[in-house]
This record gives sequence, C-alpha cells and structure tokens, in this order.
Amino acid sequence: MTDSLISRRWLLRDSALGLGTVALAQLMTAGRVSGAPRKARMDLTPRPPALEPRAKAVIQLVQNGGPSQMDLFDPKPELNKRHGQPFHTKADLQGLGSESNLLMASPFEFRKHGRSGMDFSSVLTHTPAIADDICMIRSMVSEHNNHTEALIMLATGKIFRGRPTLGAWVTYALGSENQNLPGYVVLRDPEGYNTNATLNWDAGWLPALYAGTEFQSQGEPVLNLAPPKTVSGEVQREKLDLIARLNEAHRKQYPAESELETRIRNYELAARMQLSATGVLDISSEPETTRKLYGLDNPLTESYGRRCLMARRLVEAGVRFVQVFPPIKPSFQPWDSHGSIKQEVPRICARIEQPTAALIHDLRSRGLLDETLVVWAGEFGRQPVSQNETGRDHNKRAFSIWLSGGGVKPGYIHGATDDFGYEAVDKRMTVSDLHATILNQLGIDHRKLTYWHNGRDESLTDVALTGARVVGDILTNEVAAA
Amino acid sequence: MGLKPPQVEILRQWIDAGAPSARMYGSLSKDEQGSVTAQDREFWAFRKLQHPALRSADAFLLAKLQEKGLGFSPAAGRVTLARRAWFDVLGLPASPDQVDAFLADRSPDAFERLVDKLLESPHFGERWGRHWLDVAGYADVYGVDSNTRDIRTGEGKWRYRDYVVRALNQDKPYDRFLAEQIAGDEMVNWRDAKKLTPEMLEHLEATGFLRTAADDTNNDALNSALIRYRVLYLTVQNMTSAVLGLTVNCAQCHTHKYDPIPQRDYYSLLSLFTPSYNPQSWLQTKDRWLADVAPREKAEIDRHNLSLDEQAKPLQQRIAALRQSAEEKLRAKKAESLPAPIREDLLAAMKTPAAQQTPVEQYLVRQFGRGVTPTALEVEGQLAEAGRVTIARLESEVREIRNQRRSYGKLQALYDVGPPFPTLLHRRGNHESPGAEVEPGFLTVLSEPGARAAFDRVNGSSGRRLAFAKWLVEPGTPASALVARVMVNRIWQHLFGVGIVDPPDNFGRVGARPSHPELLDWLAGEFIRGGWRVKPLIKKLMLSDAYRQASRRDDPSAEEAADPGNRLLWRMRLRRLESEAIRDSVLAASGMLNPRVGGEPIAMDYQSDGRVLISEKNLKSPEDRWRRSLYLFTRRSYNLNMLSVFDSPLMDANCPRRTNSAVVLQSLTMLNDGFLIDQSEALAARVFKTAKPALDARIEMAFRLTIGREPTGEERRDSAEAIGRLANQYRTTGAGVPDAELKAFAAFCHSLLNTNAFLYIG
Repeated sequence: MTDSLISRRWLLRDSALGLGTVALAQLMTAGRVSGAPRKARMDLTPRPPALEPRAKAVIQLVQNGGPSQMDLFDPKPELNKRHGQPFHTKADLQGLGSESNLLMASPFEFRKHGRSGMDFSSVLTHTPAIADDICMIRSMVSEHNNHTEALIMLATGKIFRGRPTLGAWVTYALGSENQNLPGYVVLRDPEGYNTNATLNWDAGWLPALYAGTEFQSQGEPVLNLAPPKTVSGEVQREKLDLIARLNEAHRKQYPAESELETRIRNYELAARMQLSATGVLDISSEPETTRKLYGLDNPLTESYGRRCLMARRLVEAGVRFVQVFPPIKPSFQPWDSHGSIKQEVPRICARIEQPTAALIHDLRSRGLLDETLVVWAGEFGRQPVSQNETGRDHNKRAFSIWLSGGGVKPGYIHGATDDFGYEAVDKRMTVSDLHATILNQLGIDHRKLTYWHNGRDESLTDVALTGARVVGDILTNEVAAA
Repeated sequence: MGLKPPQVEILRQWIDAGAPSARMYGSLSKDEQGSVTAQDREFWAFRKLQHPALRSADAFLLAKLQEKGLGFSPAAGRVTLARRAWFDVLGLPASPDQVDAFLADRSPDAFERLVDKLLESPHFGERWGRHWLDVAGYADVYGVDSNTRDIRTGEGKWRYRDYVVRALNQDKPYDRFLAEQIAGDEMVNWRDAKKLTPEMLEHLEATGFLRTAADDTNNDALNSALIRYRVLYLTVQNMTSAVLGLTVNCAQCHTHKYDPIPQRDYYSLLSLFTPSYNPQSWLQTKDRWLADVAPREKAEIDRHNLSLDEQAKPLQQRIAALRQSAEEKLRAKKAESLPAPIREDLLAAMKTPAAQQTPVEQYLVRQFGRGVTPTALEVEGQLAEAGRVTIARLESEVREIRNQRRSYGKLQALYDVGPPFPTLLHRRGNHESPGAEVEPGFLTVLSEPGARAAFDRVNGSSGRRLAFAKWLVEPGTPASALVARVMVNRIWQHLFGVGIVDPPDNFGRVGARPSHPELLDWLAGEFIRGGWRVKPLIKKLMLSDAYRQASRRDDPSAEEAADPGNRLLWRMRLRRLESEAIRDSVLAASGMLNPRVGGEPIAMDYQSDGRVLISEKNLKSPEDRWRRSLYLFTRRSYNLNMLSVFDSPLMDANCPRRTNSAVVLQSLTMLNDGFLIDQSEALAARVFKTAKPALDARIEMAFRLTIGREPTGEERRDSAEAIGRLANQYRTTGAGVPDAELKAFAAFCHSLLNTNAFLYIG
C-alpha cells in the first residue's frame, strides 16, 4: 500500500503537466492595480526569453570583501614606482588607518599569460591557465564604499535594501527549466553567511517564489527536505496519502480556488524534490580526476571546490541561476585586506582559485561554457594608498571583475583605470551596465523586464535613472537589446 | 591658530547638513513648489466624507450584487462561523468545549454574544496588535539588520509592542491612539516630572511607532548626513503609509508625478520630525533610549549608584591589595628556581603595567611570566586565615553596598532633541544639494485652500507632531476623512481578506479605486461618529450577513461567470492563516500554547545552516518556548523559519498587506520540521488523555482540535484505515503495541496539521 492509487494518479498528472500549469496567477494578488491591469507571472514554468539567448544559465561567483585590482588583475607600474610617496588626491576612504595618504606598491610581480597576453600577479597560479577563456573588465565602478551597501548594489543595482536581486529577476523572466528543482539556487559556505546573508538572493518586492533557494553543500541540501530519520519512508508515504485524500475532499468544495490544488501538488513536488535535489548534489559519482581538478582532495580548497562542482551539476540539471559564495573563514568578507595585502590576498586565493579555474575548465570540456555565463565579481576594489601600513581600504571608484563563457569575448581586456588604479577612466562600466549585459546574454531586454510596484514599472536597471546599457564591446554576439 | 572644539563641532554640523550657503537657499522652483488644484481636491480619496443614503454594510454590498443578479450565499454553518470568528478576533482556534458552548446557546443573539466575549479576550490585542505592528514596521532590532549573527537589539523596543496590544484591548479610540503614537511625548510633561506617572510612561512608549525605521548611525562609519536623512525619509514613508495610505516618498526627489503631492509638501512633512530626528544634533541609537523613570529620577539614581560605587571602591582596593601581596609572595617563591639576575628583573617587570614595560621586560614576562604566576586557588591557599576572614568581611560589605543600587528599565521613544533648525528642501532628493527653506506643514491637498499650519511649543517640545496629530483627526476635514477611510479599510481587509481598496497602501491616483466607494465612506463616517472605536466596528461587520455567509456554494457557476474574482462578495472568501496563526494554532491544538500576554521577546538562535530556532539556553522559563509567535524576537529578516516560510514580512519598511505564497518550502516545513512532529506527538498524547478510548472518538477529537469540526463518515473511515496501517508499520519495526498505537495516531495528527482544511479559514 506504499503506492496508493491516489498518489500514483497525482504523480502522473504532475509529470505530464508540471506545477506551473495550474493557474498560479491567483496565488497572490500583488501588483494588481486599476488602470494597470498587469498581472505578474506567478509560476516557474519555463518561458522562452523574448530575444535569442546567447547563454542559458548564469553562475555568479560572488567575491565578497573587495578583491584588490592592483594586486591581482590590473598592473600599475607608476604606483609601484612611487611607493611611499604622497598620493596627489585625497583618497575617498571608508575607515581609518590611511591618514598619511601614501601610495603603496603591489607586493606581487605581474606577468602576461596566454595567447591573449592577459596580466596576472604572481599570487594567481591557476587563473593564468584560463587567461584565454575570460574577459577581464578593469573599469568597474560602484556607488558606495561600505560592504553592506555595495553588495546590495552588486545584487540589486541600487545601494538600498528591499529591491529584488539579479537572480530573482532572471527567474521571474525565465521560470525554471527543471520542474523538480528551484530555478535559482544559492550555494554558500556551510559554516555560515557572508555579508548581507540572505539579502544577496532576496526577491525584494517580487513574489517570494523568485527568491534564491539555499542548497546546503553539505548534509541535507534544503532545509526540511527530508523527514527526521525516525520517520520511515513507509510512514511518510502513508502520511502523504492521507493528506492527499483529506485535501481532495476539501478541494472539491472550492473548485475556484486554484491555490488549494497548488498546495496539493506541492506535497508531491516535495517528495520528488527530495530525490532530485539529493541526486544532483550527490557528487560521489564524479570521477577522481574531476574531484582532484576542483581540489576536493585538499582541505583548503575542498569546501569552495564542492560548491563550484555543484554549481556545474545544477546548471547541467537545468537550473538557470546559481550563486556561489566564498569561504567565511578566515573572514566572512574574505577579500577585505585591510591589514596586509601580502598575507591576506594569498590566503583567500589559496582557497578559491583552483576551484574557480577548475569550473571553467570543466564547463569548457563538457561543452557547457558556451551557454553558461560565469561572473566573477566582488562589490568594489581597493585603494592605491596604504592602510595600516600594509593593507588597503575600500574603493568604489575602480575595481576589476571577469566574465567567462556565455558569449563574452575570451582573452579580452575591457576598460582601464588611471596610473594608480584609483579611478576607472576608460570605458567605465557600472553595476547596472553589468546587469543589463548579463540579461542581454540571457535573451532579456533589460528595459522591458519590468514589474509593477508602488505605482510604477520597476526594473532591475532602472534605465531612466542609471542610463544602463548593454556593453557590446565585451560580447562576441550582437547586442539584441541595444 | 587652531579651531576650538565647539567651533569644529559647528563646522562639522554645517558640513553634515551639506555645507549650505545663503546662495544655495534660493527660492523654490516651479516644480518644487508644485500646485494643488480644485480638481485634485475632488479626487475620491481627498474629498471630505460623502454621506450616502444606505445604512448597513449589507445594503451596500447587496445593491452591487443585485446589479449583476447576484446575492449573498446562505449563512455558514455555526461550527464554521465559530472557527472563523475565533481566528479573526483572536488568531487562535476555539477549543471543542468552547464550540460546544456556542452550539448549545440556541438564543437568536448567540453569535452576537460570542463576538462580544471574544472582543473582551486579552488575546484580541495580540491578534489586532500584530496587524498594526505590520503597518508600523515593527522589529525588535534598530539597524538595517543585514548580518545574521550581528543582532542589534533596540533595548525596550518591545514596550511599544505591548503598548499596541494594550491599546487595542482597551479599545482606545483610534484618534487618541494615533495622537499618542505620533506625539505622546508632547502630550505629557515628562521632562519636568518628579516621577513618571503610568500615563506618562504610556505616552512615551507609544512613540515607539516613530522609532521603527532602520537606523544604522550607531556605527560611527555610518553616522553620516545621508544615513541620518535616510532614517527621516523612512520615518515619513512608514508614517504616511500607515496613517494616510499614501506613498509620498516619490516627492522626496520631485513633485509627485501622479498625486497632488508637491515636493515642498514632502519637506514640510519631513520638518515635523527634524526636531526629534535632528540631523544637526543627532542622537545615535545607543544614546536615544529613555529611562522608564523621570529624567530627574534617573539623574538621582545615577548619582546614588555612583556614590555607592565610590563607597565600594576603597573596600575593593583593599581586597585587591591583600590578594596581590599574597600573589607576590607566591610569585617570588616560584621564581626561586630561576637564575638570580633574571629573577629580580622578571619580578620587577611583572609589577610594571604592561604598557610601560620596556621591550626587555616584555620579553621576560612573555618567556617566564606564566611559569611564576600562581593560580587563583593557589593565591587563596597562600592567604593567612586572618587575610581570608578580612576578605570575606570586605566582600560582604561590598555586596551590601551593591544591593542598595537602584535601577531603571529602558524604552525607545521619539522626542525633540534640540531646537528646530531650518529644514531645507533637498533638490532632486539629494541632501547635498539643499534648496529653499521649507516651513513645517501638512499635505496641501488635505488642507483647506490657503490654510497655514500653526505650531505652539508644548511641554518643552516644538509641538510640531502634536499639531500634526490634531490635524490628522479633526472631524469634518479631508484629512480625517482619509485617515478614517484607510483604517476602516484595514479592518475590512482583516475580516474579509481583501480591502475595499486593494492594495491598502495606495489611496492615490495610481492606486486602485474602491470596489464599494459609498460603503467605504459610510463605514468611515460611522467609525468617526462612534468615537473612532475599533471594537464596535469589528462587531458591526462580523454581525453582517456578508460576514456570516458561507464560503462555498454547491453550484457557483452563475456567480463565477458574473463576478469571477468574488470582488463583490457573493460568498465569504477562503483565507489562509498568517504565519503566526499557523504556529499558534499548532500549539493550541497540541495544548502546549503558553497564553501569557506581553513582556520581553523570546530570544532566537541563528544557526549556520540557516535554521532560526528558539534559543533554548536563553529561555527564562521552559514554557516560554510555547509563547505566541508575536513574542518571538522579531528581526527585519531572519525570523523563525516556520514563520518566514509562511510569508512573515521582511520588515525593511512596513508591511500593509501580507503576501500569501504557496511554495513547496511550506509543504516541506509542515511535513518534515521537527517542531511539527513533536507537536503532533503532544497532540496525540492529549487526545489519548482526554477522548474516550475508542479509535473513532479519538479521531473525532483530533479533527475537532485541528480543523475545528467533526470528521465526515468518509474521513473517519480513511483515517481509521490509515491509522491501522501506520500502527502495523510501527509494530513491524519493533514497537510495542501501545507505543505503536500512539505513534500511529501521532502520524495521523501530523497529517491533519498538513491539510488545507487546517491551513485555511472557510
């Protein structure tokens, strides 16, 4: 009696139609306004983008803390030459410890790598191998020198809390390809959260359904995904059957209430998700070579490596948007090198660099890189002047990020900073430009992806205010949404 | 020549204010000035109340229904009605005994008396207080709350929560309730009082309403003009949303594009709050709290405590000296094993405070210090008997002195912190581009044409907020009309599921028009005529036919065709319980609910895997874990998983209407969360204890405790069969017979808690 007629019937119907065929639109009445009878999509059925997509999925590698551009990606000979001299500008600072305003050379040597001749500092030992796969942007700018605000900006396009994140907008636009998994999955350090925690994947005022779902990379992948061990599979099945029976009688009394049916289906989805999520995240089937590639054999890289590997598996399984967060140790904002660039930067590189390069190699060798856009970015950069003698303070005026796959130009360097890496001066690119460009690669026109909220059509890039534009320079494809 | 600190401070304030110069003040541009036309004043929400001819809620609803050839559904069954009433008034289910008592009362006014009884329950204030706390934007933290582990508790914030609960229980008239929350501190002379009377305390606690905006200025790095102004912006936003149902924040940057709200009006409103949230003499949150005693009394207590500390000091010094001499003797003894030259230097170094040690001394202490340092136990042993007795006597004297210390509690209030300063309009909403000076004032569109607001200092305060509170509720004005409309609409929304104006937070042009405009105005008029009392209005609505009708019909096809969304209320709406009501009714069903009202919030535990649970180790008493959800420590994000998964609000600003998602995580929570499984076991044990031992009687009791009605014949059969199979499974896995029966029944109870019938009010 473990497979009752009812549950079998339910399963069949579910797999044939999928969750989203229920008129979920009535689930919530948010955003309904007279004179603007626009009804928000309230389901996760896959929907084709309006434009021809160049990428199917995004993996966002969030580098919380502010990676130091002049010590990683953006060589500054003039800065190195003037080490110890006063900086000609009073640097715009966040905290204390830089009052002397003295320039500080990078403690690392730079060399060119790959056919493209991309510059990397000596602290990077794995990234050079993917030089010809990535597109380096040296001219990013943010709007705030504090982590909280700048990270909110990276996530939502503005420095104030409460708005939907990029991943939520993408899920709202595209739904989920895999009906047994959420469309937007978040992988963070199992030991804890980075700055802003769940706000980094919040749906803001978009329906909660579009928020990122946290998958744990160790233990149970989703909170409450499985019953406690004391509950056997048979007992669970019996409960599900009884719930289905009792709910069916109740539903018949309310034929117009589609929400009741959604809930009934959710119970079966819950059971399926337990299997799917567990399967996707079970990396025991991965060959030894892959595990080694991601550094799972090394205690330093094991945790981040596991998340990068899971990101690939999730994308393979049809998840559209995966966010990977960095380790929370030694610091929960690991790139935040206030004390010593020379010591702190290598320490975080040792944990994340190999798995990052492995992800690019792995995606490429599986033919997935072309349709997966990988985004490696922190919330801001760092100062050319020293802080506490050997560290650097935050800098919203310039930072370097890189993209790979999904139609961006490989082996290409975009934009430039001044002689000291203090300010982006050539081809400045804002966070909203980055968002517009990411959406473009997914086949979404950032100006047309809107949601009616508080009396206006809101969008991720708020183009009227930000002037956001798709940065065609970094793309191999045409800008469909110019 | 350097500047003196006061001069530096003046300069700093000037820079904080955006370094305004006379040149910048200028005059208002045409857009900033805005204009409000006679036509604007005729917009339905901005008019004075209309006085329609009809005289009951039912009459208005039926008139619209009949236009479409529709009518109300038949009355709901009494069991259904009882459950509906209990949840709507108290947010809790009725016990089977309570339902029986209601069913036994066959008098025609039985339901009326039930409603009266429910409205008198102390749990009414908890239920309706939660509704109000949503619109107020209440949380127990003060900052933006962006780090799970970094919990910034606003000490005593909860006293505002309790104030709201009390005010609702007392049925404090809404005009009074608003005035206390907006200007309580200006209504009583607390500054000069010798003692704070309960009334004064109440008035101060009430202003917690204006302390809900996220304020991160405690962090020195964020104590900037921008963040200070953001607290002000958010306060204006929350307040206008809660009280006026308007989104005025667009006018922060430019005259409102849709509503007649000039940018000038926005800054006039803002300046009502600048004397208290004063960007030029800002109080960080850590300094903004008030004692729950009068300022004079506080000063006296502080002095008293200080003098006690002074008295205790010499005694403590003597104790320390006795211990130190014993320690030094011990140290010298221990150091004997070291070579003489090192010994002397080391002992000398250890007598020198760390900051004054030379590098050589530091080295010695680092190398050998630990080896010669005695443990506390060794020191006690070294003390001579007389020394020990002396220390014990001194310590008891210190304790006696300490016991005389007096203390006071903290509360979070809003009050003027300095003389008002000229409020300048922020060009394009940017405080760094100050424009012309703006007088404090109210919304033009809700004022008589040409009227000017007047402000008189009162009780040592600018009186701006008090004048505003009076303006809001003065009878016969467009302002009080809107205030009443917004409030009756909220009450309607909580009883019927959807407001007459929906969404309830935008009564402006881009908002929705009321489905029944005349009904709304009639209700608002009745509300004001009835002395702004909430309970009689709730009662009036609950006694209507509209409220008492069934939520389902056998064949609703004609109705569905004529009015598909049931906007006209031809049946009662089926409503999902809110997050708090779900958890509270699980606890009520299991019998574990701790009904204590009020008090400090229950601390939570924030785990690295994302679980947020009640902190067992911080419980003051074990039963506290079963308090109502209202009393769990409330953050802007990161609340008890069970609550957040069922859409408890993300309190960045306020929450005029809960969302009602139906996501799979909810099913997973109800199905697999340990809390549900534990409560199901408690529920099963309760049924076994209270019901007749026959299985059918037990099934019936479990149904009544969870979904509030008796099971149908089919449900009895299905349940009994499922329980039989479950018991078999438990037996085959080795459970004894009685144990297997209880476990099977607990699994059955768990299934009941997972049904839609439990989750929805019919």
